[in-house]
Amino acid sequence: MSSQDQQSLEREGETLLTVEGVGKRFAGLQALEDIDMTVNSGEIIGLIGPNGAGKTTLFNCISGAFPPTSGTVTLEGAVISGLPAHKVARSGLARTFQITRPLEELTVVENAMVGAHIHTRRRREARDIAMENLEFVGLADRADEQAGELTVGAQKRLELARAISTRPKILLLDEIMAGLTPQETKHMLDLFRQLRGRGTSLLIIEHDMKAIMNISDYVKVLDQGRGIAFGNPEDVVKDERVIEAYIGGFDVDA
Amino acid sequence: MSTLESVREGYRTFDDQRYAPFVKGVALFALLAALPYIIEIDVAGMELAATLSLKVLILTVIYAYTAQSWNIMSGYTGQFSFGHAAFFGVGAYATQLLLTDVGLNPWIGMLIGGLLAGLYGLVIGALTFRFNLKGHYFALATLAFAELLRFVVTNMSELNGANGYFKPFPRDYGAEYGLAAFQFQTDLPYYYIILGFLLVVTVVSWAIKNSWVGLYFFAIREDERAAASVGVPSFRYKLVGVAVSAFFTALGGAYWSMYFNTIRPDTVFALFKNVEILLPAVVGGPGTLIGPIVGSFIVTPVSEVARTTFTDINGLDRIIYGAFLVAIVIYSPRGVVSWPSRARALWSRLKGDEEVSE
Amino acid sequence: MPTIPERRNRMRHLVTSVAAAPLQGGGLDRFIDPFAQFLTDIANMEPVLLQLLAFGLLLGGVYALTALGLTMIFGVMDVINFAHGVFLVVGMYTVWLVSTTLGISPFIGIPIAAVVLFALGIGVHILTVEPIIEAPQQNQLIATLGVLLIIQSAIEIIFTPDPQQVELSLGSVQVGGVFIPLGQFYALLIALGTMLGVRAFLNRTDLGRKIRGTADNRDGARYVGINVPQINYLTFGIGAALAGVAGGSIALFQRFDPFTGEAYLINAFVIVILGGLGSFPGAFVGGLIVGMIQVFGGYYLPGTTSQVLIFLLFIGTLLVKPEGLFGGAEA
Repeated sequence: MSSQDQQSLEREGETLLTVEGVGKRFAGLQALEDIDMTVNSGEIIGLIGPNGAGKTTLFNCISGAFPPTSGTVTLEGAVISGLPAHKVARSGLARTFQITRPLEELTVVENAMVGAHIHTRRRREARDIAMENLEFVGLADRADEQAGELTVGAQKRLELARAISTRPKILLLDEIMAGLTPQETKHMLDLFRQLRGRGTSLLIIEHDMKAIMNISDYVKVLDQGRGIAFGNPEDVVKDERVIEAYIGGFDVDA
Repeated sequence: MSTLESVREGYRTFDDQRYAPFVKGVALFALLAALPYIIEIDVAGMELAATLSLKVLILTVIYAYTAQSWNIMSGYTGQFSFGHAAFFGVGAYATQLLLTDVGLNPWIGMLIGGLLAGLYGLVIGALTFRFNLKGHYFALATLAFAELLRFVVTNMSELNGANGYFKPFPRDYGAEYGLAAFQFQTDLPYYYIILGFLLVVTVVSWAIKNSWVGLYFFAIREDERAAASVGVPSFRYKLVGVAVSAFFTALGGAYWSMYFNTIRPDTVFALFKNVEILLPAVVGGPGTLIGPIVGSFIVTPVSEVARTTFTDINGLDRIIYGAFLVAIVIYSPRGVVSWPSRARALWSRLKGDEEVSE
Repeated sequence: MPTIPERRNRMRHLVTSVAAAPLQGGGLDRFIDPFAQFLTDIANMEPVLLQLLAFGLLLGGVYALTALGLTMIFGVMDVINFAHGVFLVVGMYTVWLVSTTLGISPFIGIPIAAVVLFALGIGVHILTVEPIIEAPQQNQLIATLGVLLIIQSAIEIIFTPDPQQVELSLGSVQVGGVFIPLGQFYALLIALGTMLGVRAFLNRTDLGRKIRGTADNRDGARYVGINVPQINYLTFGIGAALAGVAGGSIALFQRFDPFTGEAYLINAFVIVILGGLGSFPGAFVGGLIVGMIQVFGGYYLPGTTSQVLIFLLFIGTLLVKPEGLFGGAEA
């Protein structure tokens, strides 16, 4: 499928995030090539693909961890590609990391407050925002514990709380469900739906196919740095190229 | 409930109050203010002052002050500076230079020195942060910037080269002994001035720690990338950290130059000065508010007393410094202030074990 | 009390004389004039240039030797060993001690110093570096700094802070009008020999290859079954032994005291960074550069201005090319 197919899909909401012709080269290695995609407000988009397809690289290009070598990323019409990560975050895009990066020596609530301080310099207000989001992810009762002492599952929820404390318009989640128990995964999916209900768009990298197909409005498939499909989950799984990409080097445990 | 437990419970209730840090701070500084009198108390014919002189107290508070200043940058933002002697020396030289050559009041000269040091800190920070120096490379770069100044000053005849400055008498700059002249004929006023300095930098440090700035500093220290992903402009905040830290460190140098009679490149910019500035914070507990003060009260008196008591064993103070350095980083990298909570954890573990075994 | 206009005048004078000195007028002259002199000397083929080159080579070789152990420990273990400077001093005192008390030739004293330092290095490693090898880098820096202070002061207490000198009158020779002090010449030979020897050791022996492998990739080394902790303490021991050889060589031609190591340590850092982490050819070239700057700078520039140039070079390298001239590819 290509961009023609994208246009033929009837998508609701305003375009929020646009990725246009984004490519990334690392020392002679083309990690991403000519990626196009859009995320509309209130959408949940799944980003899937075999290992090494370039999903996290795309996240890094969008979130400002490093600039893309070509192409542009715009958020609500404003170009954000090439901006440093903190400016991207301030323009309304937050992310979590594949391997959690808690601020270990800080408490749980302080972690979330770092995100909340985007909106206010007052500590008390930031604390209120942070507590609200900790309650949302179910960590409020552990607010004063050290972040480094949380289990992996709890750290993932903490990263979510920290990211949404910036009140992003769009949230990029990098394998946030990896390593969670089935119960925790269910809880997480429930949180995603609630977030969408509040109008936040989500772009999710995930290996758990059942979960991602279940939650996503649309799915974007990458393989070897290229976008090979975009569409409804039901259509995408039937796409030949997707099947080929997955059989050629990926565990189809979904 | 035993008495001990009820006392502990009461302390916990107190600790939860908003005014608790204020009360603790006042208590600490009241104690520090009383120290010159406490050491003179005669207990069974023994005066503490016999070994722990007012001069040692002043040195202790100076190093508590400079460590507290160092801590704002290195303890809070995690950018480990090994070159704070640069800022210390700039403060000392600016004050003496302006005083001797222009007759500018040392209080004003001191502030100018602080600003110059802050500027130098910004230059160092802009370069090292922009080029993303980390770990060893950052430490070596800060050291190089300090050593650079030492050799520049040594070779500038305009700054009296290796001879440095001799502090003028108050009458030389049209003043009389007293607060305005920053010179006194006894040590006691000097003590209260540096204690005032310590109070100011501690309050500033506390205010930073309890604001968004401090939280951003800590976030940068813990994980710069994670911090940036939620909107922390780390480059800018690291610059703030180094500038504030450099400014206050320079005031310490200015004080030093007004308390002692001479300054030379080999004293205020000394290689070892870098160590003396950071040591109390490392020993006491880097990144904590009380750590630098506690650390200085452990390190400085012991080495000073060793130095003045065993005058025939030159270098004993440095051995003590060295032993502190090695022991602390190996056995207690979080510093002395982490000991009470570690002891509590140990105690509760022991107690817990007992309950299980019963 | 000076009057206001007077004060303003003095201030103006101050600004022009001090603040602007390094930038313009009298300030830059102090670099331009010597440089012009230098160029004139080259144009006239002044014989002094040859002499300076010889001195630069002699000093640079010794500098390279002081940096060898440091760059090896840095490259293999990723530890900045602040105690390296005082290891040099222990080497100096060892040679001095065996030659004055036992009457042994200082040249035999140098291998003895290597053995003493090897043992001391392993001891220091086990006691202070090993326990915190995984800790944040500044902790290792602080620990080795503590070792520096302890050993330096111990030497000061045992041998007094007074300068000592190895009794050795080697004299000098004249080669084609160039004056060569033999003490320094032998030190240079020892430096070259040691460098070639260590290089052969690293390239030809099994242990040497393991050390290089660890320097290239610690995790990889662990993966292929190299006993990394063992490599660590051997590296630290060898690095210290190299400091012993370097210190012993310096003692052949220079008076020394417990603090002589500091200046060498700082320049050794410069050389290590300049040449590239863990690189032996880098250490040699870096040593030559620093040696030449010091000798030529010492001749043409006033005071210790040459050291300012060295630090500027150091900072520039750290910022722009922290991997150094030789990129750290070679151990």
